Amino acid sequence: MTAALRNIRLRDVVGAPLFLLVVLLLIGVAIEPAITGERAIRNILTTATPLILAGIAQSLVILVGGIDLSIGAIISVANVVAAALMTAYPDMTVAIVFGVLALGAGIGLVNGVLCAFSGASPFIITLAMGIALQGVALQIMYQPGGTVASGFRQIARANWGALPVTTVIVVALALLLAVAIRRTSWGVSLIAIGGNEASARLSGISVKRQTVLLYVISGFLAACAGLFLASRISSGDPLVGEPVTLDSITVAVLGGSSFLGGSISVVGTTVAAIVLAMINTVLNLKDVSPFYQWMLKGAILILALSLDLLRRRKG
Amino acid sequence: MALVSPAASTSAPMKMLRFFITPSGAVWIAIAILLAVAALASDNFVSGDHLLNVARHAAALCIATVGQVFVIMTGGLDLSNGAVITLVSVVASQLLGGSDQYLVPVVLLCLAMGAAVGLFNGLIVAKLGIPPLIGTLGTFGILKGAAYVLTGGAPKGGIPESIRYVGNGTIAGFPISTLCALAFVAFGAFLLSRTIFGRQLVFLGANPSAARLSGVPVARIIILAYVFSGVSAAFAGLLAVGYTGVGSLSLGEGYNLDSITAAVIGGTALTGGSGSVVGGAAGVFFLALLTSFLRFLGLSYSGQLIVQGAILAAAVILQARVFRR
Amino acid sequence: MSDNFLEFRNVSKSYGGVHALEDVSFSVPAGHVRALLGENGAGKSTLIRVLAGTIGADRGTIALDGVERAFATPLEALEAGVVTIYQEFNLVPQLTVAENIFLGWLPTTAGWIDRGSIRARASEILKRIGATFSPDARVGDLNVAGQQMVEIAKALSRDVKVLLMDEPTAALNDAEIEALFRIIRQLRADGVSILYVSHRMAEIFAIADSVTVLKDGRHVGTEPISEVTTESLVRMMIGRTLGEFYPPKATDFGAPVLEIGGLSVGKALQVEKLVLRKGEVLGIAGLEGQGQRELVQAISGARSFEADTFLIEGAPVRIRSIRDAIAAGIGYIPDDRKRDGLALIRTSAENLAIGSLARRLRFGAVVSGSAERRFVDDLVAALRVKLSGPDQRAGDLSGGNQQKLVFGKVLGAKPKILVMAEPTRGVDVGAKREIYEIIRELTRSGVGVVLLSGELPEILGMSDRVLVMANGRIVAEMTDPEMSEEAIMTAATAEAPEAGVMDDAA
Repeated sequence: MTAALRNIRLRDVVGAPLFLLVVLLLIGVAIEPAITGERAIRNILTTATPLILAGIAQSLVILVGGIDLSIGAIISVANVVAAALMTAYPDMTVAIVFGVLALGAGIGLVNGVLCAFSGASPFIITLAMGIALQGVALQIMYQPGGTVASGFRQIARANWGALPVTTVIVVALALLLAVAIRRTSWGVSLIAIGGNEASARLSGISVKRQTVLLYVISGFLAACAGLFLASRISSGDPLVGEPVTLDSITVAVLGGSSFLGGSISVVGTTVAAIVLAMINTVLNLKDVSPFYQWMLKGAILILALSLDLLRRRKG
Repeated sequence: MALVSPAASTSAPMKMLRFFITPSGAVWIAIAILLAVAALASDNFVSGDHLLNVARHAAALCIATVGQVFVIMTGGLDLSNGAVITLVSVVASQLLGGSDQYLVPVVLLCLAMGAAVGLFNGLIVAKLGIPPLIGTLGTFGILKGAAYVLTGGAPKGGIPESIRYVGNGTIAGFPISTLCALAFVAFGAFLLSRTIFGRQLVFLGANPSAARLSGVPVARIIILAYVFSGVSAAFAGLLAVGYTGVGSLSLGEGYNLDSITAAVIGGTALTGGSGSVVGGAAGVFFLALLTSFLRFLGLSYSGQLIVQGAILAAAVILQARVFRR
Repeated sequence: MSDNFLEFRNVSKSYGGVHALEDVSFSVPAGHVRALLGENGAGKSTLIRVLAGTIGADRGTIALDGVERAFATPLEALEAGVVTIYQEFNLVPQLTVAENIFLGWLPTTAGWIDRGSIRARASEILKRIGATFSPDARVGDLNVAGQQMVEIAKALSRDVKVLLMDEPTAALNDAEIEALFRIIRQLRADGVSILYVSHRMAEIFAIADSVTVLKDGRHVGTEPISEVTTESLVRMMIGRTLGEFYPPKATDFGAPVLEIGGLSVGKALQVEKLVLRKGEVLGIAGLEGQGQRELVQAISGARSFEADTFLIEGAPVRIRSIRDAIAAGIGYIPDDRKRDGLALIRTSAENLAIGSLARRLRFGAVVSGSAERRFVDDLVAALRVKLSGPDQRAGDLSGGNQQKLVFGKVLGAKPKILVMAEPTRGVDVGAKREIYEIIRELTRSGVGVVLLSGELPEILGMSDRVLVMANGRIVAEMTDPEMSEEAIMTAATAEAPEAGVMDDAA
């Protein structure tokens, strides 16, 4: 047991850029002590939830050397489809939820098949998919609008004390996924694909099938995020997912994913999403414009990537 | 000594025909088909006036695309060019305040800003090894914020008549901005094929390792490619703001994706080392023509996005499966 | 147990007209260690790949226990019990030793890995081969020898019937080699057929029951180990009459064009003195991986090095990069032309011109189209490159013509010294001869040539002087009368890594 413990290194648990996260967290608390209050914490965790989902989706795809630039647009599509349908058929909430989840997975399937079999780069495939899906979202709902059933609104509003229920569930599932990646043959094959694709193939792992599966999961998780946002804002917004694409990459990298492939930390990504949500909350509390947030996030992303690459080059 | 096999003695018309089945030749066929369809759909769509108007509309994108082609040829991407366009538009507007008094220094400053952004991009890509897509996406975010900081959310000042004339005026019926774009395309094509910088850039895009062993200063050339893209974007920003007449925080929106789409449609391979500036310009014209036609058909902005995404995907898949054998 | 458990029946494979394997037939009994010998390019690796299912043969079949098999994928080969340990590792650095060993068939309960079981089984295998690291160690944290042990453990975890080992001891020290031999003997006792590829004669005599020699893709002979000696094996491996194949050598040389003293690349290369004269071909020979590559890469600026003196035509120069070397008059022809030599998707003309663009400028900045056309036409004619036109893509040319493009690219910069690694690898016989003539034409014009080649006939046929390397040092220097295959092989193997020496290197 001690041997096993010794073998689990800090890096595997939280991801190496932990340092940067702690620094950001401390800065946040120093600037705005109010964020340690119960309401603020609840707010931060609620804000973080879609980002945790998207960040995990992104880190799974990055693990096998891919990327999903359509995550934000899938979120938007899921969001407006849910809002539009719930407005039209208020009694069919459950069916709509399942339909939207299937839609997200279906979009992921198209992404995955195109990325695995067309020979074109996943960057551009998912970029094109993102452009087209943004069009779809705007086609369905050009302005924010619609309304969702009151029961559905509770998804983003139910709390256990200071903790939002959905966030707790999402984090619990993230922990389960984190363990599954290290402890199931599926997870190990994913790491193998990302770490040494030739070796994975020689060992009989179906690289293409796993790649498709990960894009399906990514689409599914994005749809979950879109539904959660529909619940939170009680309506649809065709641009709600737009900033999430960049944010999902940022939290994946902050959490310990590497574009060199073969690295993932679900726990690290989750923590990073919460820290990023905290930064957003601090900036909002301080009444800072969203444009500054763009600037700050761009800088954090480049900083995180530089640290990661410098560390790996030395190590 | 039969150095030349029969294949080389192919007649000139055959060579012309063969060009149209290359990645950068196919776009001309796409343009021809689009024009034919449009001519069938409407009597006045394919008229000299309308086409010139489309070309004028496309001038700024065309210039930004020339820079984008350079970067893609190295195997990279520049997602920050749209943000440079926005930044240049608000900086020019605020500093000039509608007057020509400081025209030259401000224009130079704008171009220098583009160069500085390109230098930053080039350094993080070539020296730190950050994936270009992510690195320039980060730069995009920073610049977007910077434009806001500089304006406090609402751009002030104004664009003087001189810049507006370049963006909007005509010489003998030809839009000046289109002439600028054509000249810049010619300049870009010349750089790429006739200078050491361009030739080394193309070669390193095709095989960085062979380039290094052939004495190509790989990192320096990559950095220069991003600098060139940054300057192109700044130039495009000046033309674009001259066209609209007001500095705007949303002016550059979409330029990054549009310039990549145009470059890919024009036959530039995202794997680097193969492509064409002229093809990229043709890709811009195709996109502009398509947008105009879709609008003519009554398709909304959202519908246009769907079509654009589909065309980009089709172009890149076609490249991967048909041309890259 | 059958006497020909593993059988190659008339196996042939060619790449673009070059025969890598031609009609190879031999068999290996069960419970037998067969050494597979041959020079570089003799067809050993092709044979291994065909058996392992990574490439298909053009003609001929492979039979296992009398049943003809054709492995379409490596996995099919694995499942049939044909396990290969490659020279380059196929491990996932992010996973643990145990996970790597069982990758692809991890035992699970409802999807969850039976960690106890893989740890126990991995421990047992690791103990068998004398490895001291834990099955939970991350493979990325192991050194090269450790990773080699994991490769071996991975092979042993399978139900192995035929074991292919390609230079398995390259990264091991003496104790580890001894442990490996114990395992091989044990597997042999269990009835496994083992194909063992190695350059190290001592090892072959220590472990093999018999030996099969390949040369130029053909089966030269199979002999019991008791019937052969180092000398007879070397003769079987090279045994060609050099005849008229090589152009006449130089008779007199000019002043030294390159003088290097105290050259070192880490621990991989320690050369006290190296002198190259104008018009001379200096051959670099030795077993694989004895520092030859480091030597040519250092001289050509492709790898950083330390040197006390570095003189070109008597004048000191500082070489810190390829660009420095090119500016100083050193040209480099790398061994992997597809990876390091050419941009295959660009035209032949562009490839020829890239190395010397600055020599053909107008107005100080513009590449002159007419000068470039003349330059390309001249080179194409001089090197007799067969093209449909200067715009033909380099990737569409044959290996020989591609190699001529690499020569042309380097010659465009007018080098005084030409450093080449395996200049005729993957090139057909006709183009080979042409390349030898090009090299001799260059030396006649005063160029000094450093020639690294794993093909002894090439070294003997082309070199005016030969340096033999072992363990990163020059162990012998020979000129014509005393220069022979046996002499070179003897010098190279006499100094082959012995106990303890590899420890320093690793």
